[in-house]
Amino acid sequence: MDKLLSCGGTLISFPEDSSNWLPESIRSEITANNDPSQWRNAAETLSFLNIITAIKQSRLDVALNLIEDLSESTIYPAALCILRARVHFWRCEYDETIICLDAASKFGGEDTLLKDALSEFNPLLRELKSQDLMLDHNRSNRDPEDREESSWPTFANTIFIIQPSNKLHLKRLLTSFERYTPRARLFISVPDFDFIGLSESSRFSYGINDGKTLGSSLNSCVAQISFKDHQYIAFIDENIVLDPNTIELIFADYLRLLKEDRKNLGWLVARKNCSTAVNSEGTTSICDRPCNAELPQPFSYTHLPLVSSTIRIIDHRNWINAPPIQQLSTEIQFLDMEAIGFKHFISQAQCRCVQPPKLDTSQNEMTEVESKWIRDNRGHYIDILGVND
Amino acid sequence: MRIIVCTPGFDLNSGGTLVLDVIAHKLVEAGLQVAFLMLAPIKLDSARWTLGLANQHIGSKVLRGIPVINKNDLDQSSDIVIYPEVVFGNPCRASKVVRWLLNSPGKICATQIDFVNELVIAHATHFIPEGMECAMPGAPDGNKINVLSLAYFDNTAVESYFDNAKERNVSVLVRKGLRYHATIPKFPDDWLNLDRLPFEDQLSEMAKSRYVVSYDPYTMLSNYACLVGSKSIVVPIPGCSEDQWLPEIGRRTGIAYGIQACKNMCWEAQRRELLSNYSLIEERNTKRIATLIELMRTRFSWAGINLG
Repeated sequence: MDKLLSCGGTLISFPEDSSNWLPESIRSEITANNDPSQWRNAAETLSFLNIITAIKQSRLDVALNLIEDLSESTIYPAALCILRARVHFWRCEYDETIICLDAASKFGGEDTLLKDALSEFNPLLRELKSQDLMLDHNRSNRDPEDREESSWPTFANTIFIIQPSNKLHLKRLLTSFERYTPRARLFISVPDFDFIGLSESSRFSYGINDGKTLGSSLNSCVAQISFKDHQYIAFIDENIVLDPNTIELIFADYLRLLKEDRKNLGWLVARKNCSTAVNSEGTTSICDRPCNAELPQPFSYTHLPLVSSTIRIIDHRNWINAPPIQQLSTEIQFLDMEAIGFKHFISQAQCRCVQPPKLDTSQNEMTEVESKWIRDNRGHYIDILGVND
Repeated sequence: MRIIVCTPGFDLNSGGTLVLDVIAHKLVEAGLQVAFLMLAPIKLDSARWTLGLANQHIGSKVLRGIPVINKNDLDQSSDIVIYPEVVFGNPCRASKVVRWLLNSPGKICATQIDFVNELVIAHATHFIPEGMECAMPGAPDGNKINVLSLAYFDNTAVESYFDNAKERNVSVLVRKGLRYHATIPKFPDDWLNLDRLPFEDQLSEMAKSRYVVSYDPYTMLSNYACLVGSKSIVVPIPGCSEDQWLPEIGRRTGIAYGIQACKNMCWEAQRRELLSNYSLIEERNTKRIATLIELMRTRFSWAGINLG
């Protein structure tokens, strides 16, 4: 099965057969004889296989270290440069990708490998059109102070926020992050100190979820990440897991919306696929299903149930505080933003819902105090939200 | 007749030494002859250590003006010796011993206390060993244990740091946390561990932090964290309720026992209450030292001094 990677909305497929990335002579040798002790240069062959395995497992830092270790001694410098180009490409370091491909062509000797790599990368690099945009992006990776205001979300400038209530759910979500987006930086706002230490990755940090309501928790969370240097914030519901390309797609959609000169870009929300979960009614609501319309598409009120139950990303400068209530807090924040001119969108990105929809989003669970708050403070949303008058 | 206070020295990072310092100075203030005897860690055997009398005066220790004597200068029959609970037995062989429980006996190191012949005073009720009774406040009552909390507080330091701008989300204190928690997790890179910093730097860094999280449930630094404007949270001891943690509600002011408790805190009100409590510290310390003198007079049939 092909592994999909997206950039700028274009999907391409990478063949899963790792041997296609090996130098021609190594590939022939290991195809003919699968006993490593019989290989002429077993150490180098194993090094290449380790690098390819690390790339396939998205352990890109490991792959880069292995490449650097091998670069002094390899007799296949062109093939190694191409592998390095792949690593830089996956890290969205497009300048370096081009430099590595250029170096590979100068070393020569791996024409088939180079041709394959170029045919994979070219459509995506073309999609990025402007070299300046790539340079801006690379600059934002290197020096946060140089970040351009118009830069688009990347792993370097986005922080993913999780507000877990259940350790098992969190563990499952973190596993999918580790597997599919190992470069993502996570801020986990914990309700209890037991949650700290579930992962000791240096890309994870922990905050304190001390809000009395969902709305005040969200506001507290955003206040806590103000100490970090991130332009974009992405909230993740703990009841989902990622697809391999969820984050890549949501980044690509955000870039596309920016390139379309969308003013006042608000939230960009991923869709969800409930096929692996059963909700309380045993059904999946229509708005949860992948739709056929061209995506990203403008947000409509039928998408409101998605708001707090998937992934949503925003430029943190556009954040406005959520109302201090438990139920419908995120939905009201969406509507408040819309009312002052922000436009929200639904992304082609999709995540999988692996838990039944939260019961506490049910209108029936809303307390009288909250209903009263909405009637008193946001009476004009009553019909949209379906709150009893 | 003198009061001899056994102490490891004055250390702003050790709540116990601060209490011993306050006791000594308040006794001087009451007109009594007071001296220090120095303590140092000693090995009881291959597995256990405790605090015992130091062989010599340790010159580097801060003692704030009170003279230090040697064990040989002690009058074993007339001098009253005050030991913290960490001292194993009665190394001075004094006939009049006050034992101050600055922690639960045995919690910090091996110890031995003669609950029958010593006047035992607890810094807080939760330090009283299980099965022993607490005396009514200020009322000498046989072998029941009296509770006298004397506190050291440096208001000037707190005031100078209160307005520090927040630069960090979380600072963390571990200190004696491993005595209460089986494991301490590895902290994220952006959390600052305050343990090894000098006291002044701890205050300064706490003031720059939005939250101060302490794995040590009883450090005074948690109170200071609230006073310098941070949200101070103690990580709950597994299996220990808030009431078991600090039975006296007044002692919980300014500290949230766990994140859930943090949700219900009005931090500014807590800080004001804590400051108001601390403004009364001098007065309370004076009253409590008078109680101590009364307890010693009764227990040791000592004419003592007339404070009246």
